[in-house]
Amino acid sequence: MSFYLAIIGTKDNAVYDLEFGTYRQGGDGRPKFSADMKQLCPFIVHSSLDIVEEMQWNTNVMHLKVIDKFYNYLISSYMTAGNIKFLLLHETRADDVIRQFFVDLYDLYVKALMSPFYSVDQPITSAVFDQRVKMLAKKYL
Amino acid sequence: MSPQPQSVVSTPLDSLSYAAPSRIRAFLCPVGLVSRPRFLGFVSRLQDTAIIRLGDVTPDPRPERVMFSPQGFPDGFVVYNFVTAIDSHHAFLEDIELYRRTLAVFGLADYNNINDLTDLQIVIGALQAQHPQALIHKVILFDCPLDQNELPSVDFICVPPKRASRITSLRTTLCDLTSALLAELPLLAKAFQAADTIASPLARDDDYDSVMLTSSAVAHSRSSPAGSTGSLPSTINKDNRISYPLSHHTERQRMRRKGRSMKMIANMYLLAGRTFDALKEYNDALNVLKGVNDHLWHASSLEGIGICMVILAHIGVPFVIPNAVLPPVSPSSEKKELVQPQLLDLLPQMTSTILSLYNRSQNFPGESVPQITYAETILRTTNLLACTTLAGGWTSAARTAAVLSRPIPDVSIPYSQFHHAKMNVMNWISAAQAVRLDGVDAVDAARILTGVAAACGKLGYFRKRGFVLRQLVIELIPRIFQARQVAQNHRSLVSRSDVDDDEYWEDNRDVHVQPQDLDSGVLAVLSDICTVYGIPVDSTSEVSTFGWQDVKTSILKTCIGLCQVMPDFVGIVRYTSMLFRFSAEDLSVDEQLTLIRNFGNAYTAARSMGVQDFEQEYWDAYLVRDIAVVESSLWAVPTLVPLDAASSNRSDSSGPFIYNPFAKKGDEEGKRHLFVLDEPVEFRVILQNPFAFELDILTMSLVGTGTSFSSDVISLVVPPRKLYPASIYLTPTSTGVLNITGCRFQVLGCKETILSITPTQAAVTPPIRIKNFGLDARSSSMVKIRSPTFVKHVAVEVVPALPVLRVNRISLPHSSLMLLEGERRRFVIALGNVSETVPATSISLKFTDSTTKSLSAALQEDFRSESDRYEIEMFLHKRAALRCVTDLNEIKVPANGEAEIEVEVLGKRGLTSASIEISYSNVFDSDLALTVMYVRTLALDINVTVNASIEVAGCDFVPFSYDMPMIRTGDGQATTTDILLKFLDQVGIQFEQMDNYCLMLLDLRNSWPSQLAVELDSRTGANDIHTVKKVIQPGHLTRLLVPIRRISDIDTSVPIPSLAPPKQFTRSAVKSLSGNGSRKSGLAPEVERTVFWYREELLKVLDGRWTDNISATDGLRRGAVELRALKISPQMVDIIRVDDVVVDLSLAPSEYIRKSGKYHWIVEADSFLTLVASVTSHSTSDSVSGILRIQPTLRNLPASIALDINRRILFNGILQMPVVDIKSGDTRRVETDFVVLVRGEYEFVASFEETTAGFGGKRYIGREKLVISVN
Repeated sequence: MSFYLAIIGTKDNAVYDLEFGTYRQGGDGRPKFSADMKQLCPFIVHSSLDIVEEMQWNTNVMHLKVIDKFYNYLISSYMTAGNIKFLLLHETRADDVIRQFFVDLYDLYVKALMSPFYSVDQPITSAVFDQRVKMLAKKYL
Repeated sequence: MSPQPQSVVSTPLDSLSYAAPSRIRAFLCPVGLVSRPRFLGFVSRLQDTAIIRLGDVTPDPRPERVMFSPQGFPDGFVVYNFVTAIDSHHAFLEDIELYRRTLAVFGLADYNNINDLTDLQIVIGALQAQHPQALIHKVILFDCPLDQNELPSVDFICVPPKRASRITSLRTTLCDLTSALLAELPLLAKAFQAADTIASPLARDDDYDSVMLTSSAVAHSRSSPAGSTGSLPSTINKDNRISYPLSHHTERQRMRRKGRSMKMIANMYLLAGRTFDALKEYNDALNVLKGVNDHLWHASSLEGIGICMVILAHIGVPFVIPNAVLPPVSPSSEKKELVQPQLLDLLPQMTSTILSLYNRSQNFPGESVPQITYAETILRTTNLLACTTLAGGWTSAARTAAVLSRPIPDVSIPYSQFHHAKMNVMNWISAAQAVRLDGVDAVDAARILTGVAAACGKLGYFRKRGFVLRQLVIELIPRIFQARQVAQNHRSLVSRSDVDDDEYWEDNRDVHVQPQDLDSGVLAVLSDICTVYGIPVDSTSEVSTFGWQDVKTSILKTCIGLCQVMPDFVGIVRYTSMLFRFSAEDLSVDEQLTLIRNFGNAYTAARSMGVQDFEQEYWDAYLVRDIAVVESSLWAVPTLVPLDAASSNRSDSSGPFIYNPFAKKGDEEGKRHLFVLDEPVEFRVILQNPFAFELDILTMSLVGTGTSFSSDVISLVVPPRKLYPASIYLTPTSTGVLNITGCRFQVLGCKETILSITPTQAAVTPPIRIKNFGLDARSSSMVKIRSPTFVKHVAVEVVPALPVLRVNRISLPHSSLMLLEGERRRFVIALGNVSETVPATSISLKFTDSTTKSLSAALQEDFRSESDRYEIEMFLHKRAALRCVTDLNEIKVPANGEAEIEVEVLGKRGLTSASIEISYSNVFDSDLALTVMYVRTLALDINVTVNASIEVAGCDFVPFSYDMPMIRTGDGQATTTDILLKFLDQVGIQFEQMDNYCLMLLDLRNSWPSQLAVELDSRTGANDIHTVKKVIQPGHLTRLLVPIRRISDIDTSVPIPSLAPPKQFTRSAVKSLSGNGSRKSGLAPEVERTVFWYREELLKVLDGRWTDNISATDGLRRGAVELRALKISPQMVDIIRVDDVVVDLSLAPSEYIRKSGKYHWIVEADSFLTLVASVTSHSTSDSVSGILRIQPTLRNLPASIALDINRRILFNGILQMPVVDIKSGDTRRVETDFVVLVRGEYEFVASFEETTAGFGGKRYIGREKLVISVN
């Protein structure tokens, strides 16, 4: 199973994105997207932003669960208090696990945001952040 | 959430609205000479009247044509779907979906352009031949003033001009046409009823005996509105579609045929507006088809039922929902009643049923559903649900929108309800999106995807729509490419066999998309996609921080790809430039090179096709990194000189402070460059090219604000990845302030752009507004890239014309000069005026020389004593190395003329070079009102060598003393006294006056390798000047004896002055006094002052000259001896000075005494003598009082014995007595009588102790001792 994670800022801009695979069922953590799909992932995620913005007013929780789908792919979303959107493209439904993943990711993101050298909507280039997100992915997905 | 505002009337009906299958397709084609805009105008007029109520239609009187008579359902209506292109592509679907068949063909003719109506008769025939499947073929004559009866045939319909006609006249015409059409429909119905087999769209030949056209394999994608000119689409003979009875049929096939034929009739009822009959007929067909498992036709009938119910609901006629479509679980009685909200629930369920039936039909080869039908079914349902969502429920507005594609007015809907409905629609959109497009050709794919996109757009999901449209573009590119390849191969078979890359551009010129197609064509879609993904299409002066960078790059590449296959050269140019603007850093070198090559080719191709105006600006807004004035030596920069006192003294007269830190600094104005009118100035423009390709700048010129100027226009090529300096000239044409703001560029392929100077690529920081969301965030994320904060201006001031001077010659060989120290020499500078018109006036000279720097540096040293500092300042300020001799006020250099200036150089130690700055302008005496003056300067350097000449090696002072040993040498030589007397005689000093003088011993060394004659003047009186002359051999040290008149009346309390400009903070001398002698002079300040003032006084009376008349080749060398090298000590001062109070001793004349010297007496013992002490005051104060003390001693004895004179001399009185109130210049005599008792030699010393209030009165001791030898 492959995943595509994108953190979208307030201006439809990608703050961070990552492709990864599962470690479950003997996976090696590498994404197995086809070449076409690899290219398409950002577009799919971007197109679900419409739905995210629709959903956010309809609920009082941050985790919006699966909000959109594209063929066999599902898109789960998490809306932070600062209007930053976490979007995860995945293949099977696992709301609880993804919720935990998102909550921990939010924790990481807030820590990154607290850096005095980082301002909202800037791309996150921290290697440590990247590494920790990958560890989260390994832990939950 | 409201749909795009659109004009209600002239847009064609939405082909994917739910009731689209109820519309009659009518093909409109131009006939005769009709211009494109007029044709479109006619089409638009027809579309306004596309809906015809059956009640308005006159029924056909013929009995056999009553089957679809409008009288059957007067409330119903016929809707025309006017098309301007034949959709032959979907001809294979026409049986099952009759609405796809073109049933009416209308030729539209412009009456004004028709010469002969009879010609049109032929056109009718041609239309009939070309469109045999259509039921009626008519020609509509627009703007026709004739009456219907005047027309030659009933096939011609006359429509009066728009202004002349009533609104209903066109409608009446269409009613008539509808009547004719409805009269023809029964024939078609009969044909279907009689048909043996009605085939499914994808049926193959071997399933049936008859010939079936299964699919249109050939894409006839480009049928223009004026389709009659191109190759005709292949038409399908009606006979091919419906096969007539053959011998053997099973019962099942018979029922299937019956059901299908009933469904066809129902289709016709639906088209004819007889919706009730259609519903009934569909229901019957449904029951039959359901029984024989004809899934495809069953589903199609079901769909028909849905449409009928929606139309009936729209008309507002009560109807009964057929049992067949109700959910099977509880067909209770109350559900049979018309409850409209239930209909809304029912319709999606029906569609689900239809889709499952369609899916089931896939199992039957030949009976499977075409993708397009499947997808359109979903899209129609989506459309219906979208309409109800936007209208807030199953309202009449929603129904009108679903049936007649009318826009929905804004309604406020509770959010949660709205959201829920939208999510529901979204599910259907997903279903439509999930339709596989693998086997679908370009047209169908485009149709499906645009349908999905439209639905997304309706719901306000613009990003989704963008995504779908992008998918559409991606789908289209290979298909268009393939289609073009086919066409290309076809052509190249004729012309040439191979087509390489370069020829692509040549070959495609004839098929290039014309610019007018851009408005509404696929390229508008590209703009739409770009906008959604945050690429601003029109704004070029702003950069958006909105959007996802990778996605933007990908989208732009896709756009370029589509433009290349279209091919649309303008589009290629446009999107390539956008790609460079937004994502240049994401492109590899190879990509950039390919892109720029295609860009250039497309540009050339578009140019050769006549496209002139390219709308895009050059993509790099930071092209101009800097503009600077090139300061060349050829170009004499004028400088500003303030003339009025207020501006010149502003810095030091603006307040009580010499330095005011709050004073406005004048550097802003100082930095402004000054240009001279009509003189070209060079600018250096730093251009950046961060790209991997060479940048072709066709034209470049400077732009600015302020006064007028003319700039050169240059063209250049900027090499890749370089900061490239370009040189460009500018000539100011009027005076005033000029601001150079940037450059005007035309880069190859771009329109002319003015770019400002942006020295730093300022980080684009948009305002942080995190609560903006959605595409609204776009507006707040725009940042002006050329906002004033980032932009630099080069401000210059253009001043009136000035002359240009040049040094024509200088009277020094190689501008060099050798001098001896103290020598003065003059030379002449000849100035020429190069200017043709402007004379040079008001010339001034400024000199700087090499000594200035070292002297200034020496001044900065902290440890200098006051007198040293004065000495340095003296050399710095008073002893100028250069001096102008000529009166500059008299000098004028006329235009093209010449003038001479004479300059004097002084040989000063340390002088090695000097520069002369000649400032000049053309200010005349009449310009008194001027407050500032612009001057040009001309610098001239000269080299000077200064050699040492006469140096002061040292000096000493000797007092003239009377107390000299009177030795007379035996061999008749002169005694010391004789020598002294002789010397005094020489210098003209009387012996008695000798103590008013002292003798200076001055050691002078000749360092010049040639003998020098030295003359030294000493002013000894008001008019007496004593001159000492001596010739000094090279390298020799000679001592000169110079008599100096002793100096009195010097007020040493005056502090040592400073020649430097005043400083605000000066160090307190008190601190230095209390310190532990850090002053380098090592003297107390009052002593230092005394030495200083006496030295100054001494230097005033001394003057030295030297002459060299031997070695000099160029005449006599002469110069001054630098006497400031004299160093004197406090001891020397004591010799030079005359005390304030002088005490003198002498003996009163008597017979017993004999004088042997001025202070030497020979007396006899035991004789009465009188000692006269005279006290003379030279003091500057009014009167002096004090105590006079007389101290007698034995001469030439040790002090212990010398003072023992009690028994040797008897005094009448005391030896210490007060002397009071001596006026300045007065002498007081005090006499004391005494008797010397013992023979021997005695000395008398007198001293005067001044008494002042307090302590520390000064003590003055008599300079000479009185010596008495007693015989």
